[in-house]
Amino acid sequence: MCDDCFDDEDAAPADFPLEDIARAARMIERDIAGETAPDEAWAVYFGEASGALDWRVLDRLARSVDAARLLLSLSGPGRAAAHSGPVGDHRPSAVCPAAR
Amino acid sequence: MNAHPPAAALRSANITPLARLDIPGGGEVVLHRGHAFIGHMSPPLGTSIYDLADPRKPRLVAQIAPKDGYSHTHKVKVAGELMITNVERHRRHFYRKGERIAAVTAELAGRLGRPPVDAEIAAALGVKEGDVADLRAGLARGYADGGFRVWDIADPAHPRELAYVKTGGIGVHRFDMDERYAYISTEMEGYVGNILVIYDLADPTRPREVSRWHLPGQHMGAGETPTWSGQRHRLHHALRVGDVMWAACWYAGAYAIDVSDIARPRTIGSFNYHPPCPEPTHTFFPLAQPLGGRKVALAIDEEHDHIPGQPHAFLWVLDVEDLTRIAPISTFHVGESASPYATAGGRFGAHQFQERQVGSLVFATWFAGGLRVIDLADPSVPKEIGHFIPAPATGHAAPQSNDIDVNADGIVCLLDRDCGLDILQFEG
Repeated sequence: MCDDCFDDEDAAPADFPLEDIARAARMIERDIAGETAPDEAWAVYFGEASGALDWRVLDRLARSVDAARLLLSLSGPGRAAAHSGPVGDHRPSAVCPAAR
Repeated sequence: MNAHPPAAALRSANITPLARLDIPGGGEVVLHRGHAFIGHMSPPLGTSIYDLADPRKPRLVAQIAPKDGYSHTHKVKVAGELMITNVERHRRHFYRKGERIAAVTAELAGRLGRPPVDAEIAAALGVKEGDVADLRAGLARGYADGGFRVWDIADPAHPRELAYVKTGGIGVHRFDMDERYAYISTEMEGYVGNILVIYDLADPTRPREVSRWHLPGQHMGAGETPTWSGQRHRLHHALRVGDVMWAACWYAGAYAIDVSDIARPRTIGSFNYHPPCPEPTHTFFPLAQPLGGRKVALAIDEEHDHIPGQPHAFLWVLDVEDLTRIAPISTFHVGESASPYATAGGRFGAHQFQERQVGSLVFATWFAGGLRVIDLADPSVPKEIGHFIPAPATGHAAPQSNDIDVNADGIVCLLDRDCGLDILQFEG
């Protein structure tokens, strides 16, 4: 956390394991009207790959993730929200079959 | 500080390292008339000026200290023979927590039935126990020095202070300038968070305020009520091109402001992508030439602490043909696999691009991802065509590439917020 850039009010949302978010988000996204986003788009969204995302796809994925967080929060509290420490977790792939 | 060849940097073939300076980190670097102007992040260093006549052997020609040990001067801009440096409270958000000590103490006392100890106050504020005394000292000391300084740099080796302008609150963050006006992002009495204040530099020894612009809700002194808490929504900074200011607003998106009447800035249009996108808007700026038959602008977000499931901060490509209907075209993201330091600690994600690009190339800093060079020839599908990732400085787990500038000869200065300036040659 950088004291020179961010305020307390910048607290982030509750923190759930990536694989849980990915599984829920992809399930929700498949139920949204329109073309389902490809694996490659999810990989870019979750930071596994570099690339471009069309705004409509990005918006679709972001809203699916928001809904997934809400769904997960209804089934139990997440970890402490803001300031979750460095980005050093060994994260599973969000787009591997096990995560779907 | 002697320059040395950079060691162990990772790079694409079109970027050649020329020199590395292990200088204390900075917030902004500007190239102007053969010199690099650097704003350092923390006192006692303020502004450093390097002669780049031989970019392999940069030569320090001047250093300017901040006004005091409680201010930092981490931003700098240059136009013609004028330079402006900011004056902002150092560790401003940390010290702002001191303003909450009384309320937190009262709340804890009511809940505990006794006066709280410092450890409990610290926990409630989200600081270390030992920080509470520092916060109290900062509260008692207050801060009234925020503003900016104007310098004559006709001789860059001997900057001459022309004016010091006090603004308000914690002072000035990023800003823009030309030889006639300064476009300052600052707190001001009566407002919450940074707003735009435009100063006339016709007489640079006496800058004169000509107008202000703010987000609806910021002007509490005039009875406005913010719909957010604290300073969450505020101007980050605004850049002028022609009669339009391109303003990036924290968690509030991109705004185009008409300044054809400099005394009456007027919002033309905006694009706010919060929510659903989580990271705050840092910079908004148009490309000089149309791409693919469209007028295009860029916005870039600043990476925050990373939360699983959230995209790292990224670059936006926007259609600005009609400023009343700013619309997204595409976004560009860098994957964690693109840097060995992405998960080593520190931040990994977008921060800033070179302001005032030429052609379709964007030079962007990505914290632990270093420098990324992105081609927007097809604005619907941005493509990376180069990168440079510095080795972490001694004592740091990852580079934290913060700011960048590129001159007409392809000389690139890449500034780390913790430590180091890399001087590169781009051969695109």
